[in-house]
Amino acid sequence: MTELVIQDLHVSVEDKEILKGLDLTVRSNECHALMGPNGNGKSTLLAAIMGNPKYTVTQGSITLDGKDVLSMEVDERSRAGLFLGMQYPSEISGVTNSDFLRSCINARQESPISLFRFIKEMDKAIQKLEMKPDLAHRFLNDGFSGGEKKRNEIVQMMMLKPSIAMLDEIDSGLDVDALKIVSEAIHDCQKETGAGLLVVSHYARFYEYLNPTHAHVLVDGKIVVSGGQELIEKIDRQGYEWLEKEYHVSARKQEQASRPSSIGLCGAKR
Amino acid sequence: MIMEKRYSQPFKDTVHLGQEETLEVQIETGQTGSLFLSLDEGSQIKQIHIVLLSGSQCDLMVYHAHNAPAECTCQIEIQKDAKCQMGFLDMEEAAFDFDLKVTLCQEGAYFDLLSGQLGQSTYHKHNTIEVLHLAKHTTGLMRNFAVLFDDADYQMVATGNIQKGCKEAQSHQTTRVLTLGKDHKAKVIPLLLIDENDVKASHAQTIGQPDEDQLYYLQSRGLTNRQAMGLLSIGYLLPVLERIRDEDLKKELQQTMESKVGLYEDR
Repeated sequence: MTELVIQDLHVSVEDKEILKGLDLTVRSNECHALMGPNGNGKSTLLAAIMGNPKYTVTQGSITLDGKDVLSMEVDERSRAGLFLGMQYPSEISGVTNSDFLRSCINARQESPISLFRFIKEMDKAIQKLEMKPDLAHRFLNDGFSGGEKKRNEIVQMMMLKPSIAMLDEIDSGLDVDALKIVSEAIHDCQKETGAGLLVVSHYARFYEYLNPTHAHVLVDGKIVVSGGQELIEKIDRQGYEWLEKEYHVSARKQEQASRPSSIGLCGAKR
Repeated sequence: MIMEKRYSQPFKDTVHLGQEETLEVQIETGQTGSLFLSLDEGSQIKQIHIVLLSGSQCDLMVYHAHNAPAECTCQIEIQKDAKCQMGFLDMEEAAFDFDLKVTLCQEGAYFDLLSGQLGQSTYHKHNTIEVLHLAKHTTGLMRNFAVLFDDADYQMVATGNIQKGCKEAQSHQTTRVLTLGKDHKAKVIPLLLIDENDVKASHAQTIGQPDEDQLYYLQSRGLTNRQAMGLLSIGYLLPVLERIRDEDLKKELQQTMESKVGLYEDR
């Protein structure tokens, strides 16, 4: 039984506090749905757990089976059993998927994985996600469509077999059929490994497929309400406004990025 | 000492340059094949002279295979409609001076270079490459990649030289340098000398550190910082192995490459 325990977590980005005292526990075989308005800290939580250097933990603790996660480097967290399926996976030209995954698997075990076993497992994951067979030989996420990148994150999850998997809007960019395929793959992976899941999504349909055991709503850096399926259904029907009245919280409005403005004709062309 | 090779039939050859200081190669008219030149121990100065006669084709790979300082001067002459696709790979912890001059002598001559160098410690890697166009409808392409760790010293002076009257000649070059350590020196000078109006030519270069998001992504899958940088280095150097036709040799060199960039460290 694996247990990820987060207590009183405060996280800042560029001196701006995003998470303001968050408590959450995720155990093996559980599936936690994490919802909330945009810009209120969901992705920040997952990135802070994984150790993204852009996020600074200013207070609180994160432990995995009693071990202090915050004292670990990013790679150590991964090898300890944490996995983050990212919203915007990096594109890395020149590195093939198979070389990348083989290196990642070898990094977490004493002796290298046999080529036969690796190919077998990779083929199984590719088939499960209904991806093109040439995936192994393509460069990592390079030239992938949005949907392909998300499926590839799940291929990696299946191959690396984490004990706690966090998925950050992994359903965005997926069409209806792909959503079902990805959901089934996540289900199968959890069934096989007993992983605990922490899933960020805005869509009830994805949660319907995943059937979460717990649901939480994150507003202004704190979990304001937790529940089960009924909470997901209520938010799907009513949105988040009722929370502000009922729990006396105010959702942080997402800041609009400043738009580039034209300076007119290029002087060199005049 | 001079070693001579003449290919008058289809060929697939490996030549180890050890004690021999000079290699003379001639590829006869219309012949096609691949040549792997391994710069082994022995004399420090290697001189290579290759002539591709009309309509011939050669996949040429020059590999610095010995951990000792070396100088290599390579001259390639390419005649009418002949084609040379060349790879050059140097991953040794040793100084290396490479002077390559390619002459596209007649119409339709084609040259394409992929070079990869790994710079470590204070050993310098200095390259001077020139592709000289002497006829119309000739093509000279250069793609150079280098990965530099602590204290490395890399220099690339790459010249595309198109003479007057070489109409519709093409000269394109890119050099990409990935800097992964500290206190390294990287100097890249792309030159285009053009004395003809009707040509296509371009140059591009990048020198820089790896993208932070890419490093984080790789580390989030369990790779140490050194392994992640090693994997990014592989992305730079691996394309050079495309020039090797022998699959077993290609696999062997890939493993050597992975080991040298630190992919197996910290395991």
